Amino acid sequence: MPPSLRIRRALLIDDDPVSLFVLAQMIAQQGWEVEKTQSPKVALKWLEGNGATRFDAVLTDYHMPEMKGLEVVASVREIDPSLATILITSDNERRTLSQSIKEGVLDFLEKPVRPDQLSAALSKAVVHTREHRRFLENQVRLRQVASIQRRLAPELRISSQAGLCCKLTARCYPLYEAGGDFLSVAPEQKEIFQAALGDISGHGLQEGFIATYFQGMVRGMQTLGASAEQIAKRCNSFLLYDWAANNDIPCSLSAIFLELNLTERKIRITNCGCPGGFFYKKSHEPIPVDAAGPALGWFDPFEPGIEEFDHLDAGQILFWSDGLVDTADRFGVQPTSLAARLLLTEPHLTPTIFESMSMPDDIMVAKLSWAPDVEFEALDFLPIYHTNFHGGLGNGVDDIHRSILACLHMAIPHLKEHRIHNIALCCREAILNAIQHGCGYDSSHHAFISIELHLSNPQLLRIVVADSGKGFDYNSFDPTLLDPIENEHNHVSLGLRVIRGLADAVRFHKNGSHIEIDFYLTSS
Amino acid sequence: MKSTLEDTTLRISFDGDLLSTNVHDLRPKLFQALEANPDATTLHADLKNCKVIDSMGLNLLIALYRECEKRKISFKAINVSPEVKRLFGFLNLTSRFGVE
Repeated sequence: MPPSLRIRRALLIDDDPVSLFVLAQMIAQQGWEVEKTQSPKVALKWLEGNGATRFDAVLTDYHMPEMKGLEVVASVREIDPSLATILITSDNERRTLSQSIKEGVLDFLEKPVRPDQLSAALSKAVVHTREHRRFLENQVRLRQVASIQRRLAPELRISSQAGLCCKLTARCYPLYEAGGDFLSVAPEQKEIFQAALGDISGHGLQEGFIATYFQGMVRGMQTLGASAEQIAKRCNSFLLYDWAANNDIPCSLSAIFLELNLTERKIRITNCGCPGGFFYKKSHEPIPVDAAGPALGWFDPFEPGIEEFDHLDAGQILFWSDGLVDTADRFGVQPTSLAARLLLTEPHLTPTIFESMSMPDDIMVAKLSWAPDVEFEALDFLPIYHTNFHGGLGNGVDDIHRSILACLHMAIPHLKEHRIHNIALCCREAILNAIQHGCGYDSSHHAFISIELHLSNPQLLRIVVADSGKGFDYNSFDPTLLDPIENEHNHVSLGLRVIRGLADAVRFHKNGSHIEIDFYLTSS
Repeated sequence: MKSTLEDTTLRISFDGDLLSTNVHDLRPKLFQALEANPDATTLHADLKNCKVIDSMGLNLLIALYRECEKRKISFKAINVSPEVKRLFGFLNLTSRFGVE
């Protein structure tokens, strides 16, 4: 029923039975239903539970022995802040006016009440109450939109005929009630898995609506077997010509498309304005996705950035909208650590980090990983941190140390402080070893460190530090025999002893120039 | 870093972590403190503010310990955090550093 046709109902409270009767008659004459009582306590009982929603206004006398009118108003506001209240006073109670307004009284009537004043106050009350309630209902619906958007971020896993397992995990966090980021996948074509991550310019309900439109368009084309380039080209021309001709709202779409060919074991990335993310081969070495092109809806001709990787038995790509990069920057961490945190959070939950600091934009983050069926679980991991450094790093080791601590706190918040401290110390020791012995303090020699979380059971945190040096004879090194006092100047031995003492497992590869340090996260 | 002498006990308090990036500055100051207090018979290395000690920081403490040995000064690390205590533990430094 339209709101204007709904019955209007008032709750009238006055301890004086004559006044109560007269006012009730006057209200009824205005076409309202009235429920009346001499007791404020009884009235408040009627409002409790869901009772308040039956009324469009509460009219209360000011001076009552059981409860003052302003106390009634305060209690009504507590029960239902959207319900309008009108305070009825006698002439000598005018001074209560300012206090009444403070308490949130909508209007103020003086006894004896005149019908025209009553009519005006009731009209104002019904508009106020219904508008306020509609606003609150809309807020609830908007939150539901956000929840739907979050649930639309898919989590799926397929096995191809070629014996490869492919898994996509994604999380969506709209900045407001709804957001402009979306993800669309086409798992129907099992040998070519296609995923498209889109980010409509701006963020809010309007962008959420536009994003849904484009998600539908992209999804439709994916289902019909269109390639990423065809989809991107269509979106570009649609935005430049159809959209611009019919809308005053300027709009562009940043999008990144992944096409994983499970038979040919290659992946093609088509990027139109999104941050590139990272590609990880089986070796887990991070390769920044360099493919870059302008957002869709900017230019004609359309020139996406395209990059291909082939000969892939296993690998993964982490990709995201720019909201993730901006948010990571705000927290002072690497995007991978924030991505790990979000991907490890249950889809329906909001990570606690967003309680302490707001995000600057909508966030969509996804991880696409693939591996032979039998190896998939063992190879599944989440990168947390990585950086390259050189032999001339010097005091920069402190910056890396701080950054590692921040990224570990971000990615694995439940990890105990002393554990994080030990992991970061091992990283530092491995870096010092690489700088001194791998790179010989020479800035033309390089090394890298990566930290990743293996999702096997038990979960494992693996640090890899590799340098370009010749390595050392790690077989001859027996740390248990070395006395740190007697070997004061043997920094390698002391650093490695620290690592061995703190970590759960240490392995050397490539003649010792590549060290792997493991921490089992379930151990004490 | 601060050093104070009380009777014959020299107390050296570090301001923060003992790391590869600050040991080069600390080393001469430590040895100057020893030189300046020839009557000291005990050295207390106060690690209250040291949350992290890396291998270079350990080397510095070991060098200080050896210098004390040479000068017949008894060495003791005090106010040691549980993390650092664990580090000393698996490096067989606990008893040498007089950590309780």
